[in-house]
Amino acid sequence: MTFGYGTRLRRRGYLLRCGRQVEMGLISKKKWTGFFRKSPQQLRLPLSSCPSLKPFRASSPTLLYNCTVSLDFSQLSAQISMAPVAPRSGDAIFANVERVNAELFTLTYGAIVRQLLTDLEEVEEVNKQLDQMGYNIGIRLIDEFLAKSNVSRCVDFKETAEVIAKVGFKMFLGVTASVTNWDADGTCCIIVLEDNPLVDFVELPDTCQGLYYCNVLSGVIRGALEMVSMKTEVTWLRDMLRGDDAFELQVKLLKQVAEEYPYKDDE
Amino acid sequence: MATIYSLYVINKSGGLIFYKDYGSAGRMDTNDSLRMASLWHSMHAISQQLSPISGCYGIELLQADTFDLHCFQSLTGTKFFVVCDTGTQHMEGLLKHIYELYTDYVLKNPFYEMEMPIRCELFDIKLSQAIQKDSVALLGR
Repeated sequence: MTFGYGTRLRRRGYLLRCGRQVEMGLISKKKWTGFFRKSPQQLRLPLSSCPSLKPFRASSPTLLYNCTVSLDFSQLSAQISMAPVAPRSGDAIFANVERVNAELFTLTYGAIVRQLLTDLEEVEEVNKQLDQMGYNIGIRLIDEFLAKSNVSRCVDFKETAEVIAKVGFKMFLGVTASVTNWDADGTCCIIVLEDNPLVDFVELPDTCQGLYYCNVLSGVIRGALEMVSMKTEVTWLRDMLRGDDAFELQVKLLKQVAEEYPYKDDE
Repeated sequence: MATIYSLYVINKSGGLIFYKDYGSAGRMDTNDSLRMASLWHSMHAISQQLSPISGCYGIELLQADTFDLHCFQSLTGTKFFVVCDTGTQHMEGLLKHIYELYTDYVLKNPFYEMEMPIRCELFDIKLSQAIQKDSVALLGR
């Protein structure tokens, strides 16, 4: 088959178009684009992975407008069954976002907690404030999470918890978390954090024994889930700063509140 | 030729929080744009109820004689919709990109109150860049 610039080739539902001119001896694989009309959507995929593109060698070192290629359609059809936008893994997103120094993050959080303790003096009050701060973060964070991770709507709460642990924690904190201990209904689970960047260098003194140092995390989860219509209760089960051997959060789904539209006037 | 006429962002209660128009055709004053936003919000909600397919999340594309309307709803209920010329391609990609810009430049602004009209300069700048880049890219095809 020979293609020149602008040539379109249609074959059994596949339309290929030669996008740009190619230089002598080389077919830059990026310059080919295929428009596949196999499904109602038009998927546009680069043919860079097609192995059977063969270069055409010309005798004179001029720009070539024509080239000979042979294309393996069977390989290309396999690509069509891929979803156009797949959800991205937590690792991939974490690798792509701008990073900040981890110590800066840890020290800033520590400064916040210290200041709250100085201002409020009561450990319970500080716990509540940290939770509230986390809630305010969570209601905004959820949109960023949904935009960057491309996750689709979760079918049930189990999937939600898995997504929080595997994608959410990885994406924002860079930590791996796992979900365990599901109850019979599937509404209550435990998220175990393998490590926690907030508590680097931290030791709780005796005067602050009731403090949940990482309470902001429970607020974040609660706030984020509330924006996707799930009312939850998030509490710390085990906290390494208090002497336990792991960080464990219990996430309990209280209610799933669907969108309500005021169809009837209140009487 | 691919042209975008206007962009609307609606919060989850149906209130218009952002409106920008680009083309001379279909320019609307404030009241009309607010009306359009609430109209679309209601239609979107009704379409979910009317749909014969279960698990429908609302209208994604409205095609008319003189314009197309592409809508994207996030899982949190915020809707982004763009009124453009008939046959414009890749509006879904643009809407997703605008959603990302919203999460970065609006939601991360600590002085932005949730569900209130967007008055963030950075968002406006980045949005114009995105729309311009998109028009240039579309023209290049």
